[in-house]
Amino acid sequence: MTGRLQTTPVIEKIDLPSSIFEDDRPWKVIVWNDPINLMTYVTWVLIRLFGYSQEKAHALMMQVHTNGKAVVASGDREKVELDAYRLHEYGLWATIEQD
Amino acid sequence: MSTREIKKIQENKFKVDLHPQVRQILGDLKELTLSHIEDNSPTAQRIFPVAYRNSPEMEMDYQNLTREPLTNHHRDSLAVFEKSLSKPELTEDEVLAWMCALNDMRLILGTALDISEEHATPEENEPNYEGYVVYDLLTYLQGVLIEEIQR
Repeated sequence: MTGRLQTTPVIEKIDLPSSIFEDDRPWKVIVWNDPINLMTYVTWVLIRLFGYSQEKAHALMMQVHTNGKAVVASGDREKVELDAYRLHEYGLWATIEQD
Repeated sequence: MSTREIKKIQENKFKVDLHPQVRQILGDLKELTLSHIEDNSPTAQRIFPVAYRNSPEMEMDYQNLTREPLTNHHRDSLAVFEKSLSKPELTEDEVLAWMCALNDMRLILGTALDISEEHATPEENEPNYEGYVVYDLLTYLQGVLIEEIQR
């Protein structure tokens, strides 16, 4: 049985862990269509950097080509920054967004 | 171009057979591309894309963190490309540097030419004809590299 408080407790200090305020929505890396990068090049880069199968990389590339963009990777912010940086090394137009 | 200018002949070995004039053009383009990067020209901004479109603060942090290593990466690729441009054979690492270097050249030249998705090479007497011809040469060579490196 739980005892009931007879009076309202006086809270002098709230000490909540800061982690509960962190925004834990996942981050994603988006590759955008551009008129210069070759379709075969974009596919090759996705295979090389992320180890995707030829089929998956081709499907993502086609999504970029037809829809103008595709989410190619996701995860925590540190990871997607590294992913975006590596895509930038290969000259792809990649941006970072949070869900 | 009747034979493959770049061909994988065994693991980690690629044979290169480029016409001297093509090597000369590629060498000149390497210099042009590097000068755009070093001068931080507006055309070079295409190879330093904005990462955070919706947050200027995060974008500033990202640029502070990555601008120097990204610049060095492009410099290094172009340096390896220049050093190996006259070689008859390339290692896979050198081919990877060529891939990045050729792509940088295409990005710089394509941006300067304002290339569109369905661009067609203009007639010989039209403006920028030579630029388009060189752009098409880079496209062709990059296509060959992609096929050969995946063999």
